[in-house]
Amino acid sequence: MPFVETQRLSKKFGTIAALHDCSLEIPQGTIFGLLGPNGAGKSTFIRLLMGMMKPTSGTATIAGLNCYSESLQVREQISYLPGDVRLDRHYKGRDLLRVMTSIRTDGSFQQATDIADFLALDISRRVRSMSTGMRQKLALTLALANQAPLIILDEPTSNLDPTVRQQVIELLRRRKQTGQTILFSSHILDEVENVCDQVAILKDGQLARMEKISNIRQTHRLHARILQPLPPPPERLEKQINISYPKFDTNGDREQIIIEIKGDLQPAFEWLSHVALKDVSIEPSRLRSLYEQIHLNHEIARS
Amino acid sequence: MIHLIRHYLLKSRLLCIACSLAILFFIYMRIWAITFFDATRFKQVIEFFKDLEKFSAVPFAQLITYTGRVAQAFNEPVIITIIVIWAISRGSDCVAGQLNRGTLEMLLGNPISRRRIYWVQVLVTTSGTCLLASLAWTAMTLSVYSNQVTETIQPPTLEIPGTPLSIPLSFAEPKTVEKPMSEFVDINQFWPAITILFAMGFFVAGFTTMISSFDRYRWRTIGICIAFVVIQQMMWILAMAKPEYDFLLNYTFFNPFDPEGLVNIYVNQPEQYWDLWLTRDAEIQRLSGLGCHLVLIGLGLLMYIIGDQVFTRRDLPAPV
Repeated sequence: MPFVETQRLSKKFGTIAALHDCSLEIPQGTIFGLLGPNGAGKSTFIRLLMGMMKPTSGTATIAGLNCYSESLQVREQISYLPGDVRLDRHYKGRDLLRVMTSIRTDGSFQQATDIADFLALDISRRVRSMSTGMRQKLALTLALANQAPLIILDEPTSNLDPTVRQQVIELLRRRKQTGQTILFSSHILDEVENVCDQVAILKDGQLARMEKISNIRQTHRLHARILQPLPPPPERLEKQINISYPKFDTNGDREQIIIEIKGDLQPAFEWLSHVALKDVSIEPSRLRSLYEQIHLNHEIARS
Repeated sequence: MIHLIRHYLLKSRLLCIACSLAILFFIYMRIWAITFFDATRFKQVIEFFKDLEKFSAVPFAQLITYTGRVAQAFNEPVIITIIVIWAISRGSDCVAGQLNRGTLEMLLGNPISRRRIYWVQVLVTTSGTCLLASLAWTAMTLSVYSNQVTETIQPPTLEIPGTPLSIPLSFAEPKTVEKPMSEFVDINQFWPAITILFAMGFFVAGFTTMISSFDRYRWRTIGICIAFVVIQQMMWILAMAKPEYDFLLNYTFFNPFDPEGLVNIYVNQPEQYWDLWLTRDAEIQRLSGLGCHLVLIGLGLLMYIIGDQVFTRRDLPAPV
């Protein structure tokens, strides 16, 4: 049974559909990345999981509990970092950690100060005198100062320098090893690719793609110019390849082709050996390729 | 729960200290100022302003007594303003303020129900209102017990029956004597003024909290609530000035908020103080002590409940 599950989850603000029919599952003990440009619906998705908004339709459950009607019990299972971190500015860092960890039954001040030390955060300063990055570190410290089974982080590494980003990624890996499930959204594709087990890419409020990182890593992309129409691939390859045409010539004919090949390359090469292609190059696929494929609106066609 | 209460107490402490000091100093000074005027001389001044008696909640005759003049201190615009500032500041912060600052999202990331967050703040606001009202009492007590009043004792006169004339029996100068104010003022007679001050604060805080629970911008909530208080005050002034606008008294909270009137009832008609209505010859005159308190506290509580229902059901937008 998945730890997080949404079924046709939708949220409308007036006539605007911020999220539409989003169905996904997140297994326990995995790191799940949520990708998409600004306005794609990532934060809306997360806020629906947190029970801060009522879904227009569909359901979301965490550990079998309904995220809206059983929000309090759900939040006992969650540790949360909002996308736009705002902290009470009159507190000193240490005092804020003490107050916020004491609010949770599973909160640990000792754990919080350990994380703050790990992130080299000076918690003796008042929040109002902290830089944006320091506040982000403080908020991260708060979010990780408990043992909730699910950690939801909305853009956790924004405003952080590359060194601290690596430290945060390291912290997340450690948490995964203790069996915690992590859901995080980010714009930094390399980071997501490095740490996540699975990703979902949102586009215009819809789930455009959900993929395991291991599958992405087993995928290669072949770029070439085509000299004649492409014959249909054999039936056994249908599930293994994706064909897109990013470039057309002045007559509107397909000029360039990108063939995404999953898994073993040998069967695809056999088929392609009968096709007239020029300027062929091949590279291992990466998350960036998948992301761009979806968001740069390339034509995607299964032969 | 305790940590949440402490969190909100910490957040409101500066405002609470400022309002407490203001109320302490103002009431103390205001009652001290009473001692500057000899009550017996004051009587002649008041006769000049008899036409303005309709604006007063109590007969002018009461105003020349020390009790009446001390009771006035609780109806001063400064005191009303302090209570309103506290109530609107805390009430507006309850939902709209926290949403506006974005701190509510961080708090709700923890397993705390919205209802708990809401009612803990109501508790803190109500305790603060209670504290301010208690400090008004404390300041009055301190002032009454630490100040002296000067009384002029006129030489004995012989009243001529059937005429307004009197013949002095001695040509000696009037004597002035200083006496402790506490000889003229019984502080126990003022608890209706204190409780109605609290009730007014409770009502305004309830109204503000209700508006706050609909809103996401604190400045807008504050604007709406200040406008509400000003309009209510204008309605009261209009109703007092023009008999044809009497009906407006039914729609303004400044009608039940009447510290001088309630002290007057408590002192002169104590048997009717616990009634809903003050009656004379079976005719309703006005709200009595219980009525005034019930209206303000009841409406305040109703608005808190409406605010709770709205806040626990609404979508919480991301901080702007």
